[in-house]
Order: sequence, then structure tokens, then C-alpha cells
Amino acid sequence: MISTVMVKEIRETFYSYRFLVISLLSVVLVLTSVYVMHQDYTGRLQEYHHLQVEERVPTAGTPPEPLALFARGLDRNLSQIYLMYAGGFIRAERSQESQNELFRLFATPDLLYVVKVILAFCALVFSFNSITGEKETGTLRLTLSNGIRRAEYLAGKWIGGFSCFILPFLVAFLLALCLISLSPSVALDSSDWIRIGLFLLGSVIYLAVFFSLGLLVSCITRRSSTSLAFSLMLWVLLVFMAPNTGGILAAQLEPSPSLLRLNNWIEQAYHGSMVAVFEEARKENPDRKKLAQTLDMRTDDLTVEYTNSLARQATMTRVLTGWSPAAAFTFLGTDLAGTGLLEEKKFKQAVLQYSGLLLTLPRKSGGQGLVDPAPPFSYKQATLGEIMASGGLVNFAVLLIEGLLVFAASVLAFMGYDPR
Amino acid sequence: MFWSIAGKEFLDNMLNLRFIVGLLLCVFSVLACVIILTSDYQQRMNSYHAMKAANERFIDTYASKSPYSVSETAVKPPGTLHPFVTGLTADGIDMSTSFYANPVPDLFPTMDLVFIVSVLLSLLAVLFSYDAFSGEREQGTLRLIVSNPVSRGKILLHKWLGGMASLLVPFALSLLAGTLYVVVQPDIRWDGSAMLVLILVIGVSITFISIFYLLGLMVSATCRHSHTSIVTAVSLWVLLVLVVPSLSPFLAAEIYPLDALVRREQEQNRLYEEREIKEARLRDENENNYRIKYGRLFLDYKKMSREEKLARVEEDAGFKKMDEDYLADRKRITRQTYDEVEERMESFNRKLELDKARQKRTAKNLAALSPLADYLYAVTDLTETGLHNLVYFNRVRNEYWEIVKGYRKQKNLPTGLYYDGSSIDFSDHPRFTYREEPVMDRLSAILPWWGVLLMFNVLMFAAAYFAFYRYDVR
Repeated sequence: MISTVMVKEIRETFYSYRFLVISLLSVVLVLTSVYVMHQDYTGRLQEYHHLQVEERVPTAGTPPEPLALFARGLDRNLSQIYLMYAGGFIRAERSQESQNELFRLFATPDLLYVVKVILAFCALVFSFNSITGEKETGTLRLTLSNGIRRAEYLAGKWIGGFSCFILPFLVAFLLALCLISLSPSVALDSSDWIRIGLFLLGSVIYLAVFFSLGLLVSCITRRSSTSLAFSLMLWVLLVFMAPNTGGILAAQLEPSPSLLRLNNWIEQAYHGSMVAVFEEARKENPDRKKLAQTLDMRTDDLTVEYTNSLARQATMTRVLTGWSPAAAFTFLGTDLAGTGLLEEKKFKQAVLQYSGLLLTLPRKSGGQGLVDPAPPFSYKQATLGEIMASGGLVNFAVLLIEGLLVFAASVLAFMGYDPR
Repeated sequence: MFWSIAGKEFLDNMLNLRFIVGLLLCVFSVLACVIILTSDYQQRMNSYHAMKAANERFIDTYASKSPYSVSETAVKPPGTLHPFVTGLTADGIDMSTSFYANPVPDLFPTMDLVFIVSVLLSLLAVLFSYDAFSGEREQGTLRLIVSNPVSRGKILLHKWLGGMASLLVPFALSLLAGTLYVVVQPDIRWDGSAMLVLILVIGVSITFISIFYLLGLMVSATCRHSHTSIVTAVSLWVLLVLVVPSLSPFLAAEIYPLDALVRREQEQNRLYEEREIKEARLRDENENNYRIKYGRLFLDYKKMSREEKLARVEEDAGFKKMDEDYLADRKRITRQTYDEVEERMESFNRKLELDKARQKRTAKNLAALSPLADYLYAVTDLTETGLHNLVYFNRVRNEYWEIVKGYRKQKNLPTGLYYDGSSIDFSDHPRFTYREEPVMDRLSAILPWWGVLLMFNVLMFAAAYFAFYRYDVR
């Protein structure tokens, strides 16, 4: 019986206007997104290699992450080249600016955005009237008058509807993967393919949550127009309100000094030490060793306190927003792509360690420049195991549990649904 | 007649369940955002004052000993409308590339009133209007309305006005709630210009929302059934609000690739290769001249080692002159070719900068195809948190640096690292205070964007009119 419902659902959806529009939208969007992100990645990679050879000061940086094609996340910060100046000062390479400010005004159209925002929307538009619509056309009473259990009916509708919805996305995704694997500039190893697979799995579960949500709303409303308004408001709430207010709320609960303030502090501390250096240098027999030491004055206390407060804020954000499917998916996607908060923290720690190492190296007299060329900066990305252990699995679990809960709730609601 | 159609549309919407849902969500989200952002504003303000105080302390303690270090980071205080519009930058400086930048806002951009208008209210507008005609047709009421002595243009106009009035209820209520919350805060004082800006922001917002109401009407007047009109309307909304603005900067980069660095390096390599060839050629010519002038002596000179030359220079004055001239010429040729490269590089860089500016402009204008982008430009520029303000703030900051330079000249201070141990009184050092751009200037800067928004309204209305004019009401 369940298969009859399923097949009917698939057939009905397949010939509907909605299926045509949404399939077209998702295929075009997935391909366009991967294409523009690929172009962006190639450009940034080229730029990175050109920049690396030019520097005179020791630099720390990693090349842009190829998986940023799927989830750009914080890759802009991560693929930044940092110049390590004397005294532990770290400055970003200024000329790395293929970015223009517009990029920050609008969301980056990576696959994460397409799935998280647009396809979740489409999933709701797909399922908002699966029950109310049948009721309105009068077919629901006829179907239910047959010997079919309501839970079975709902499951059949879910499977049929969702497979129709997800099919174009899967096709487009596979097509995009083929295109990427043909690209000469994107080098992916086996671990990357596993990550892509997990990203795809996460996307499907995430979309299933929203599809079920549409079904749930459809089971608790009487009319399609109401159900639509409800679903889309829920979408606004879950995709935008929950994660985005969570981020800034975390900043209020765990305040950190503003970046400008920190820069100001560091600059003033630096100038203070410069005065000391000049004073020493003006003496009859300047103590060269002391001079070098003063220049190495570390702004550690300030920056350590600052970075700690940022880390606390990031944790708070995870706590506050982690329950919302959109945030869980964002964390999952960016962490898997190596462009998330986890990677950012690890990378910045490595840079700070490197900066500490540079400080211990012997300097030329007068404190200017190192005696030997600096050892190169090396950095190892977080492994898949690390990602899964520190949040990845939890995010998967959140999405799965929420999907199941929502579906269970819709079954419960449908039990008492009046099909007239 | 006006009141009967517009009033009916208004009441119809008001009594609908989607209205209640939209209203609640709107008021709730605006209030939540305003409360959080007000606290953010207070935090930023404290940080701003702390920085100012630190600067004063700094001038007191260190400045007198190191003239080099008397500098002030030019920052602007957060705008008083920060609880409503956060925009691109609150401090006037883009710090997103700094090593210490906070990663969280990059993952979860801040929510503010602008966001709620651009996503929630525009979506509500589409949800209110997608079945204005197709729904009435399905119920059979549309034929009855049309059978009255009233033109279709008027019906459309009244439906638009009535619908907009009902949409403005949640907007006005949430705005009122937000404003009340801000007004009772003791440390936020809105002056006349802030009020004016707020009113302008509301005006631009209404223009923006109206586009989507008209979009819904237009789609509704082209579809027979409300279930097709909803899919079409919502898909168009997705394209205009979620897709086009995000893609446009990337598409612009595709049209005008921003590979400035790579191109610069390629040009540099090319120029340096050319320089070497040219240098070799000029040196050859130069040697020929010497060969003609000195003959045998120069040929011998070329064969000698440096030590032999030095020994010969000591005893032979003629040889010494030739040696000096020859070396000077070589140096001159090198200098000359390098100067040429530098000159050409400079003009090339200027060209690159122009290219870059053009690319930015293209991206900005390409994005303007989406009403969302126009709306964002207009609102952020009005509240001094947008792209326009980045330029303005730079100008103000440069003016400040000019003043500081003048001050240093007047005090007879050298630029660069310098310390002679003497104390200098810096208490009259010029301080940076941010001067707001006059509202009228801001208004004239946003007029093009507002104009585009109005154009969208006119276009949508015209499209809806033509569609409805040919609509079969049966």
C-alpha cells in the first residue's frame, strides 16, 4: 500500500509545474554556484602563489582550500598571508585584495548557501501543501477511506515527495563533481572525496529536515495558504533569525574587546617600547642585548586575552545556535570543508606558535632582522577524525534527530487530522 | 469606490491567518534585533570612549619623548541608528582581513531591521499578493468586481494601496516597538538629523516593499491558478533577493578579472627582461664608441683584470680618465634603463588601479539589477555604514593627517623615527573627531539607488497593469 501512495506521489509531482520550476532552479543554482566558486578559487590560488615569493619578512599562510568551493566559510581569513614582523606583530598582506567590499555586503553564493538558504526554501515550497492540498482537492478523504494506515500514507507521501525533490539536486551535484574533477587547478585527494561525500550526506539530511517541516506544517493547518505562510515564516526563523541573532547575542554575553581597541593597544605598547629602545640607544655604550630584548617586547598578554575571549565567544555561539538546523549545517559544512571555526582556531594557534618561535631565534645586532633565514611555516589541517570528534558528529546527530522528531510530530499530528 | 476595493483588500489581508503570523514574527524579530543591537551599540560606544581615553593617556605619558609615535587611530563612534542598521562597518574601517579579526560574524552575519525588511517583509509582501487576482478568480469574486463600473487600472491601483496599507501595519508596529525601546535608553540621543535619516530609511523601505507587492500582483495577474502563481512569485522572489545580489560580484569579476597581482608581476617580468636586452644593447653601443675613440688602448683595457686596471690607473692619467668615464657610462646606462622600467611600471599601476575601480563599479551596478542591492546601498549609505561612507571616511581621515602634518611642520618636527631626548609639549596635538556627512549630501548620494527602486515600482505596476488588462476573469 505504501508503495502505491509513493508511486502516485512521484507521478503526480513529476508532472507538476512546481517540480519543473524547482528542479530548474536547483540545477542551475548548483552549477552556477560551483562554477563561480571555482573561478574564484583559481584566482585566489594564483594570487597566493604570486604573493608568496615576494615577501622579505617571514610569512605564515596556507594556500586556499579547494573544498572552499563548497563552503567558503572563513577561507578568506585562512588563505590570507600573514607577515611576521619583529616583536611578534602579525599583519595581513595588504595587496591580497581581489576582494571588493561588495563581497561582504551579500552572502557568498557557495553550495553551503545554496543548500542552507535556497534549497531549504524550495523544500518547504515542495511540501507545504502535501496534506492540505489533498484535502482541498478532496482526494484525501477518498485515499484514507481505503485500507491504509495514516502513518503509512504519510511515509509514502514523504518518500515519494522527497525523492522527487532531491533527485535534481543529486544530479546537479554529481555533474558539478564531474566538472570539478576535470578542472586542472583543483587537486583533491581521497580524504577530500570522503569529506565531499559527508557534505552531500549532511545536505540531504538537512534538506530532509526542512521537507519534513513542511509536511508537519501541512498536517497542522487546514488551508494551503495558511500552511505556506507558516512554513515560510518558519524558514525565516530557522535559517536566518536563529543562527544570526545567536552570533551577535554570543558577542553580548561573552564580550570581547573590539579589534580596533586591540590594535590601538598594541600600537601604543609598541611605541612605548620604541621610546625605551631610543633611550637605550642614546647612551654612551648601548646595551645591544637589552635593546634587542626590548624590541621583542611581546604584546602577548593583550593578544592572548583577546584571542581567548574570541574563542569563548565562538564556543558560546556554538552553544546558542547549535540546536538550529541551519547553524548545525553551517558548522558541519564549513568544518568538513576545512574552512570552519575549528580550522580557524587551529590555524591561528599555529601562526601564533610560529611567531613565538621566530622570537626565540638569534637576531642581528641592533635587533633588526634574523641572523639565519627563518624556518618555513608549516601547518597541518585538522583531520577528518578531529572534525568528527569536535562537533562534526554532534552536528550530524542534531540534524538526524531533528529530522526524525519533526517526522514523528507530523505523524502524530496527521493521526488526528480531519480530512474533510 | 476607492474605499470599497482598497478597504476590502486591507480587511481581507488583516483578517487572514498569514497576517497574524507575519505580524507576530515581524514584531518579535525586530524587537529581538533592536534589543541585542542596542546592547551592541553600548558596548561599541564604551570601547570607543576607552580608546579615546587611552589616546589621551598615551599623549601624556609617551608622546613627549617620541614625536614619531604621536598618532591617533582615526575611528568614528557607532552611529545612533546602529540598533536599526548595522551595515558594512560600524567603525569606518574595514578590519576583516586582520589576523585578529573575529570569525563569528563571517559565519553568521548580524541581523538588523534592514535584513528583516529585505527578507521577511518582502516575502510577506509576496505572500499577501500572490493570489490577489488568481485567488479571487478561483472564488469567483473577481468577475463580480469587474462587472461594476470601475476600470481595471483602478482595481489594480486600489488593490495595491489597500494591500500596502495592510503590509505597513506589521512594519509600523515593529518599528514603533523598536523605536520605543531605543528612546527609553538613557545613553542614546537621537538628534534632528538622526530622526530625518530614520524617516528616509522608512521611506526607502516602503518603496522597496512595494516592489514585491507589485511583483506578486503581476504574477497573480498572469496565472490562472493560485497554486501556480505562488510557485512563480516565490521563485522570482528567490532570484531577486537571494540569488542575483550574491552572484553579481562574482559575475563582475568574470567580466573584468581582478588578477591585478598576477598581471603586475607579468608586466614587471616583461619590463625587466626588456630592460636587460636594452641595457646590453646600449652597453655594446657604448663600447663601440670607446673602441673608436681609444682604439687599441680600450681593447687592452677590456682584457685586463681589475687589479691590473687599478695598477695602470695609478701611473697613466689618460687611462684613468677612460676608466672613470667608462664606468660612469655603464652606471648611467643601468640607471637610465631602471628609471624607464620604473616609469612604465608606475603608469601600468595607475592603469591597474583604474581597472580595479572599474571592476568594483561594474559589480556594484550589476548587483543593482536586484532591488535588494539598491535597497541595501541606499539604507547603508544613508546611515553612514555603507560603501559610500568608506570613501567619505577615508577623505576625513586624510584631512586629519594633513592637519597633523601641518602641526608637525609648525612644531618643527622631523617625520620618521626620531628621538633626541628632549621633551616636547604635545598637549595641543590635533585630535581626531569624526564629522558626520551632512544628511543632504548622503541623500544626494543615494538618489540614484532610490530612483532605481522607484523605477522598479513603475515597471512592476505597468507589467501588472498590462497583465491584468488582458486577464480572463472567468
